[in-house]
Amino acid sequence: MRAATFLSLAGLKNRDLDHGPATDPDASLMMAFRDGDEDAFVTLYHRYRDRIVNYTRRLLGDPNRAEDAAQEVFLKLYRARARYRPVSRFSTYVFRIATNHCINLRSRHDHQRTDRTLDSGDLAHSAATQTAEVENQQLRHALEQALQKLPPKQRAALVLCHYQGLSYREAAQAVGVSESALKSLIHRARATLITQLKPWSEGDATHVV
Amino acid sequence: MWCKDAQRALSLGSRDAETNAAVAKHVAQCPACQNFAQASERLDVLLSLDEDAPPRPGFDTRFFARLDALRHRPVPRRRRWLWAGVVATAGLVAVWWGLLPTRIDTRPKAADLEVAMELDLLEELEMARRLDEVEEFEILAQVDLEELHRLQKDKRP
Repeated sequence: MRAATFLSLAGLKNRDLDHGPATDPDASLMMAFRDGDEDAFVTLYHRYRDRIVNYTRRLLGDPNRAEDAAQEVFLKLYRARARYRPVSRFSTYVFRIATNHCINLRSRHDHQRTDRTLDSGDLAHSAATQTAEVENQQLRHALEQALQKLPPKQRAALVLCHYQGLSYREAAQAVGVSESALKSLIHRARATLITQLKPWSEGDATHVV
Repeated sequence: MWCKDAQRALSLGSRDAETNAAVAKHVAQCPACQNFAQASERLDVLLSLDEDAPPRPGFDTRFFARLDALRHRPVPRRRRWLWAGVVATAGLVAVWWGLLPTRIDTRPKAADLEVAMELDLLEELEMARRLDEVEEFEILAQVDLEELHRLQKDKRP
C-alpha cells in the first residue's frame, strides 16, 4: 500500500509528504531538531544566519536592531520546534517568522533610521577612485533610505524576491498574502523606488503607471 | 496591451513567450513604457549596490548566550503558584471523595468498654433503666383503673 493511501485511510494528514526530507533537506534538519537533535538546529542556524541578518537589516534599516531581530527569529524558531510541521519549504517558514517579527517591531516603534554619514577614511584614496567610491556610498545610502520609506509589506516582498531569491509563491506565503497580491506589492515597490531614485538614475522615468 | 499591464510585466520579470512578445511589441511603440523599461533596468543595478554583509563580530557569541539562557530559564513564579493551587485543589477533591481517611469512628473502643465494665457502670445503667420503669409504674398507680381503661378504649382504632 502506498504511504499516501495508507495515511489517507488512517485519517492522517499527508501534507508532510509534500515538503518532507526528500524535497527539502532543511525541513529534514528541522524535523530532526523537533525530535531532539540540537546539532540540527545549530546547522540550520549557520545556514540561515547571514540571510536572516541581511533580511532584517533591509527591513529595519538599523544594523543594531536588525541583528537583535535576527537573533529573536532564531530564538522563536527554537521555542516553536515542537509545533513544526513541514507544510511549506523551510526557507518560507523561517522568512515568515522574520517578516512577522520585523513588521511587528515596526508597528510598535516609530523607527527613526539613524543617518549614517560617509566615513572620512574613504576619502584617503586617489581623486578618481575617491569620487567613484563616494558616489557609490551615496547611492547605497539613497537606496537604503528609499527602501525604508516603502510600506513594510512592499519592502518585504521586494527584498524576499530580489535579494533572498524566493519564488513569488514562497514570498507570498512568507508575507501572508496571495501570489497575485505579492506581485502587486512588488510592482508598486519598484515603481516607487524608480520615482524616488530618479535623481540617481540617468534619463527620465516620469511616465510610471 | 495597456501601459499598466506592460509596466507590471516589466516589473515582474520574464513570463511565457507569448506575454513577452506582447510586452516587447508594446514597448517598441510606447515611449513612456520605453522609459519605464530603462528605469527598471537601472533600478536593478542600484539594487545590486546593496550587497549582503556578514553580521558584526561577536554575533554568534551573543546569540548562543541568549540561547543558553533560554534553555535554563527557571519556571516563572506565576506557574509555581498555579501548580501549588492545582495540587491543593486535587487534595481537597481527594478528601471529598473519601480517598483519605477522614471518618471519625464514634464506636467505643475495646479498652474503654473494659474500663466501664470494671467500674460496674453497666449495672448502674441497668438500674437507671429500671428506675424509669418504676417511675412510670408509680404514675400508673395514681391513675384510676376505670379512667385507665377508658383511655385505653379511646386509643384503640
